[in-house]
Amino acid sequence: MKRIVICSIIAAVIIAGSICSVLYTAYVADSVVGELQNTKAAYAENDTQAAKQSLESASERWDFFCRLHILITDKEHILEITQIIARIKSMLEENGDDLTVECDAAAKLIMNYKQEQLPGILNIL
Amino acid sequence: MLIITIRTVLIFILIIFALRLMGKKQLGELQPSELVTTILISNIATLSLEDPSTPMIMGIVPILMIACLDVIMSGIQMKNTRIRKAVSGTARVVVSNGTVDQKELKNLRYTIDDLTEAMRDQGIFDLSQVQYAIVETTGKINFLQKEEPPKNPPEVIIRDGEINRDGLDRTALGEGWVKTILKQNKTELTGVFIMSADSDGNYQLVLKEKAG
Repeated sequence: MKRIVICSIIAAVIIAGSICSVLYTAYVADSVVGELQNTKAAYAENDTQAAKQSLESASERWDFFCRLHILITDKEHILEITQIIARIKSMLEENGDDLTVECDAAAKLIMNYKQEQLPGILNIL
Repeated sequence: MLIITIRTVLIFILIIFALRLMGKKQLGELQPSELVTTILISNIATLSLEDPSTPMIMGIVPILMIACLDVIMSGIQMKNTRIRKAVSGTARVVVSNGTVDQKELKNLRYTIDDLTEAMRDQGIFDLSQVQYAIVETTGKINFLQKEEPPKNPPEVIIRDGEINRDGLDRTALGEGWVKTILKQNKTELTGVFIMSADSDGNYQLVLKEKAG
């Protein structure tokens, strides 16, 4: 009986941890996409300072997430997103090209990554 | 290289922990679910060791979950005979009163060669010497040799408070006889842990221990 109790507790902890990890990934994805949208909006209004602040916030949250190595299941996907964010940063610094497309691309990739982590039937199969 | 070394040590300790958690049965003869568990754990452990870029948690979580599921499943099987039957199967008689049940052998996908090989494993070289042969859920075949005078092996009549119809039919004693014996022993069906009997009516009754 003791063994069953211990195993039930371990299983419950693993399931709870997995659910928390999915919820946290979704939270990070939503907040980073939100900041990228703010960056895009500020850039459209020619408010470079606000755009830089939003992008900096997005970049920090994303970097922190990437440091949580155990939550990362698709390294290539993560690397692609990190590269796009870095690209948007340099575009803002140089006051160069329109970064709307890059922001949208990064947002799409992040939402795709979030979808991949959800326990849907297509992801499981 | 250092990461792989550390992972190897950690995975090794984890597997020992998982096997200890599952209990000594894993080291002996395996039920089907236990065999699957052991194979899965060893394969998952290998994946964690082979690819250093994969987080080790991706190996730890499945190994622990499999071990826990195995223990929980065992607990459920102890309480529910239907689930036990579905997961582990039941022992099958393939030789009864010296006669080979060919249909049963075919169902189990055992050839006569498998049967005779198992006989020789247990030092029996003559099929006519076999009174009963039973294929256990682990796949092992156990034999009862004929004696002079030939004895009927006892059958399990009651198991965990439920009547085992197959065993009762083989003894041809009938439910009425079972009820009489239970009444004589001042107990009810649900209070019986195991009862076995042979066709001569010789029985052995073990009652459930009271919890506490």
